[in-house]
Amino acid sequence: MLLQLENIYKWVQQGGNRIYLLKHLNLEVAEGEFLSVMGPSGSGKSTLLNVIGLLDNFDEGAYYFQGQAVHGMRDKQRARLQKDHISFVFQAYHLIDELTVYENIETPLLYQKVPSPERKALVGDILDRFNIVGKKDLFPSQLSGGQQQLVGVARALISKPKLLLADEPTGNLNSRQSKEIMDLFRELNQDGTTILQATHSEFNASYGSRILHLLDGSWTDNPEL
Amino acid sequence: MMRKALGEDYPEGGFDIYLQPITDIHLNNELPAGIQPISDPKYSYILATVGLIILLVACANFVLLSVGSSDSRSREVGVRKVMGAQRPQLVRQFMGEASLITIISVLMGLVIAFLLLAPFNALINRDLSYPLDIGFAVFTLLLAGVIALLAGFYPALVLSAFSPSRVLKGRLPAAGGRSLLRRSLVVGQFAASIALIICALFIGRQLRYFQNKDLGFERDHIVVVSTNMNRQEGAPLAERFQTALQARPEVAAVSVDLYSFAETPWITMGFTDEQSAYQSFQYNMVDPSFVETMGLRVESGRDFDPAITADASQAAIVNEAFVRQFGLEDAVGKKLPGRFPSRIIGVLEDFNFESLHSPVSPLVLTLQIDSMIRYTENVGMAFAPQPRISVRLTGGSLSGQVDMLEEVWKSVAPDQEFEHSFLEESVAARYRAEKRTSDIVNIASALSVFIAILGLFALVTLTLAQRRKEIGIRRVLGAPVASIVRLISLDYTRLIGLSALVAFPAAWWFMRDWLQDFAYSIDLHWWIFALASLAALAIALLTIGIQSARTALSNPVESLRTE
Repeated sequence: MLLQLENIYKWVQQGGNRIYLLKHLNLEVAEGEFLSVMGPSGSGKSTLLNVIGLLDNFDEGAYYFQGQAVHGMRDKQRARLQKDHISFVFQAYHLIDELTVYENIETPLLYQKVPSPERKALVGDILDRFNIVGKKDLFPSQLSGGQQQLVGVARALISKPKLLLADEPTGNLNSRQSKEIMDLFRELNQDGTTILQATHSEFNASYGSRILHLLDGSWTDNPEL
Repeated sequence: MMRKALGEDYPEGGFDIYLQPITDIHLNNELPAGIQPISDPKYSYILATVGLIILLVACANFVLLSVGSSDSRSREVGVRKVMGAQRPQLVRQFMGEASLITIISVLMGLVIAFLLLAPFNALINRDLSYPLDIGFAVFTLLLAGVIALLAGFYPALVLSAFSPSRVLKGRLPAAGGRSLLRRSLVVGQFAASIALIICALFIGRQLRYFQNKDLGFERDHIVVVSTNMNRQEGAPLAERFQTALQARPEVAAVSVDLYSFAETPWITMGFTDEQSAYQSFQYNMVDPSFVETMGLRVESGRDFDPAITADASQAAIVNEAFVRQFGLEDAVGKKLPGRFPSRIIGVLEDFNFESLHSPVSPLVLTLQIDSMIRYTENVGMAFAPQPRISVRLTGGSLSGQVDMLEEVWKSVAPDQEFEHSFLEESVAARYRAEKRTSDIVNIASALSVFIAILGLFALVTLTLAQRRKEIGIRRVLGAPVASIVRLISLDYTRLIGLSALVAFPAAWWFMRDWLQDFAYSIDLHWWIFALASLAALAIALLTIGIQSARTALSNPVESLRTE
């Protein structure tokens, strides 16, 4: 078991009322799974991903990552866990505009204090694998959306994460680019990376080995259409 | 005219009368004070310059703050543009806002100036009053107009230029924090602040130097008592006082002289030498205990000796400056130059009886003034000659011992008021103008640093707003907070470094000019420059660090949200 959520609640206080973002949520994700989470806007997909990715806290419940109780950890331990095992792919790519493709991919390694020659080798490998060696000195603004997302995925994979969290990874792409990225995800999953994606698209969701539907912060068996 | 004033004392052709323009009486410091106190024009310039610097720094600040708030104003601009606002209308709106703020500031400034006038007068030791005339009103209006234009124009241009579609998508105009002008403004602000800090440090050190320099005479524990009588009447009283004091254990030494160290310059005497050149020197009539009481050091020869009667009328003691000035080798035993008949019996090491603005003047001391005044061609006095008693106490509480002095004084002169001063204070008072400058520059530099920090704060806020997304990404990629703070600070460290480079030559030039007023001054040590820059850098980095740490610590999810 890679991770396990037990009875997770997350809420915000608005006026005198609690508004639940996540409510009574249980989830188990096995290593090597490709899980698709579907749901309309505001159903809590991003919040769930942020909680799993340790970007955001939850108010109640238990979260075990590889058997470790995340809810009992200090911020520092959590940050370490996230840095070592979890990566993100965003809908808006979130590349750093001022850095080149090469530097963007290299950044996570800098923060993991990987020595320079090793960094060079790792970035070189991944550029090769993604077929973007020729683009390594370009800036994000000089790339198409599909290429930017490719860089985004490359950057997510450079640190060899256990878990890849993708929040609407193809939301800003056209259908051909989307398919390329999804094919890449399938390939990565077959190589052993656990992937959890949030998506609107039935087609994208169908790449997953399991599909869950979220509505108003809880799982539902009858997704409204 | 002089005959009318002096009557029969008037010597034919003994005086020359000159006219001085009435506009000159306040700021011309080459003539003695008349009906107005004299002020060195330099201090007016220093004050005006400092005021102008602060004003410019504040203007730069207004621009930075306005542009810094573009983060929050951009949406408004976007909405207004979508509603059909033309750019000139927006420029007018922002200019209008700037003018309004300026007008309010000027009004507040007037009120604050009015309230602060009394403390300010105390600070600069003057009696300025509030000008309520047309000229002042016009000046104020003009100033307000110029400031409004200066401070309002650029933000108006920047803010009105936002493209509505981009702004409403929540995206700030790219590369805003890097704008050359904004960075120059920050550099300018910090350059002014660093320069002021440097000046404040140097002026402070020069003042401390004045207070601590070995003047070559004893100034602690010395109380000067004035007789307030002319020489004939005062001398017997002073001598009775001296004799009475010598019996006291608290008193180390007493000297009765025509002038004490509290009144300088002493008598200026002049003569024409063999080359028909006019020469002058300082003179004081002293008693045989003068050298001992004041802790002067005899370089060669000997001190006056009360046992040698010839000393009273024929002996003179000079200082090293005198020996140098008149080229006397082996001065002891030689006659004074010119027609003065006295022989030099001793040479004193130079001591700074005058203020440190000027080098030590040539000096002659004798026991009887008649032996000199009869032969001099010219006499100048800034203070009335009268017997003054310098008392050196053994130590302990000076004020307690003053009571003892007064008691003794009352016993020898029951109907004469006891008037005393502490020599240390009198010496310190010579540098009152410098103390004032120091106070002004200290306050100015604190103010300037404060304003500059506000400006920096605004710019950092803007930078952080623009780099929020990048910071969020870096955090998600595992960047520790420290590395984010470093990232932002490094940029600004360069700016402060640049400011220091701008500030150094300016401060160096100002300080060299100011220190030229003094014959004795400190060196322009490089480390003061470094210290001032480091101080500015530390303050700036603290500002930046706190702010960027706050941004870095905020939840990256917030800054990466795309909706």
